[in-house]
Amino acid sequence: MTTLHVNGKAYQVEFPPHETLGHVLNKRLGFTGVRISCEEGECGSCTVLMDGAPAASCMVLAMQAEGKEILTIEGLHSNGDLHPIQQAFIEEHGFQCGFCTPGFILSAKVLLDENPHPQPKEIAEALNGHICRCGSYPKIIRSVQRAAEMMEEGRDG
Amino acid sequence: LSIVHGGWEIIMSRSFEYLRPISPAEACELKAKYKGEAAFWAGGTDLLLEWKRGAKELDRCIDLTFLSDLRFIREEDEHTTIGALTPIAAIETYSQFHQGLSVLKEVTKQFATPQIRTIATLGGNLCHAVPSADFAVALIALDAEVKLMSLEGERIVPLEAFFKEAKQTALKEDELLVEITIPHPPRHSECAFQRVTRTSVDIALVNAAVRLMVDEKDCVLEARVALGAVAPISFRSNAAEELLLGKGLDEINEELSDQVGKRAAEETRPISDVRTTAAYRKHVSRVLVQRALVDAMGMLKGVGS
Repeated sequence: MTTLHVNGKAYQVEFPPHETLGHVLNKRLGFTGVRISCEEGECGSCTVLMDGAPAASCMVLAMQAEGKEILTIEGLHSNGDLHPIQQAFIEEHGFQCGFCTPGFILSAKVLLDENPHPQPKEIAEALNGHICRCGSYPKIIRSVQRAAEMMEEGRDG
Repeated sequence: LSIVHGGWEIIMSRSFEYLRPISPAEACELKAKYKGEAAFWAGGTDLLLEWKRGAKELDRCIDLTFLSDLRFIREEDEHTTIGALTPIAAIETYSQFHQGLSVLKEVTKQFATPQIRTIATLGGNLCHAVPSADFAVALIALDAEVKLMSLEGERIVPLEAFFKEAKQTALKEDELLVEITIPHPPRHSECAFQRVTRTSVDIALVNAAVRLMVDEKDCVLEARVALGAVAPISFRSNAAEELLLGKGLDEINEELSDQVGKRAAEETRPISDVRTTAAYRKHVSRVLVQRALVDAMGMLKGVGS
């Protein structure tokens, strides 16, 4: 049994050593917000945060994540309230099908925690490890800008 | 608890034995014991893909993730040393590279995606030894050395001699790359990096790095011109470097910088593949060397690139 710390809780889970973190999170622990897609580290939809840093969960063994704090989209809310970035994606329609959205939101969180007022070009650079097949990029960038405003208001108020 | 889709089981019908050393010495013991039947697993972003695609057999994986002793960036008087298991992302966020070494941050920004940079390691990138490795080119221009460790002891190898062939290094079967050391240039020095790719996350079609060191009169004391992805291993073009020696920065005009690029491109041995043609790679080699040279001169003159 290996212990994985996901969204603030410890999970005892058994899996063969070749299984990726994304596989274990999605298939064994039921965190379906971890979207397994290309499985080659190209598309970004399986992104999780490992000790606060964005990681392609399809490109790392679950074994390698032992002892790390893992955050998936399921752990982003606080007491049931959506995170401002989640709220902003809804308000600005930052998606069509939504498959890639959890990854985009988690990488946006990393960006906004470091740089609370990013320019559109900085947002595009920070999110360049994500592919949106619906092509919602303009609205995704607008959503992150809106999230920055909402987080600013949250800090002020 | 286990909810497994059928498809997954078919794809993943193979597995491997997993070994987790907690010290470099223990890692070397395991490698000495299993030799070619085991592979060191650093970040694993290359190895995992190769294994999944069936391109690489893997009986045993020696996971180096927990060797925290090899995760550091340390600046000393005469050199900066980077632990082999330092993630690429840590190079990106390191705040205080010694003068002349800031190119490492430039390389990092263009290296794959943020989600890969968190996992991939500098040592893993070098040991995988693909011809297009961005850090190989930059670190050869910076005159880096690598420290290799086995149960027999340690040895230092210049990075230029570390690469033998495409995907082949000087590592013996029982050796572990533990450190990368970059000497601090004794005089004013700057290094610039250039690459072209199809998309920002793809590997380089061609990459180049140029380092210049100048004296107090801004005359070139040393030039290092390195190219990657245009031969089985990254290499320096001594012929191109010679054109620059002794020249004042003001003498290196467009004509001379183009000559330097041309001379370097003549030494390339590119291939055509799915990404582009040999002819394109040769042409772009000339352009990138010239651009990197102009960038390095701009940095030396303090006008940025």
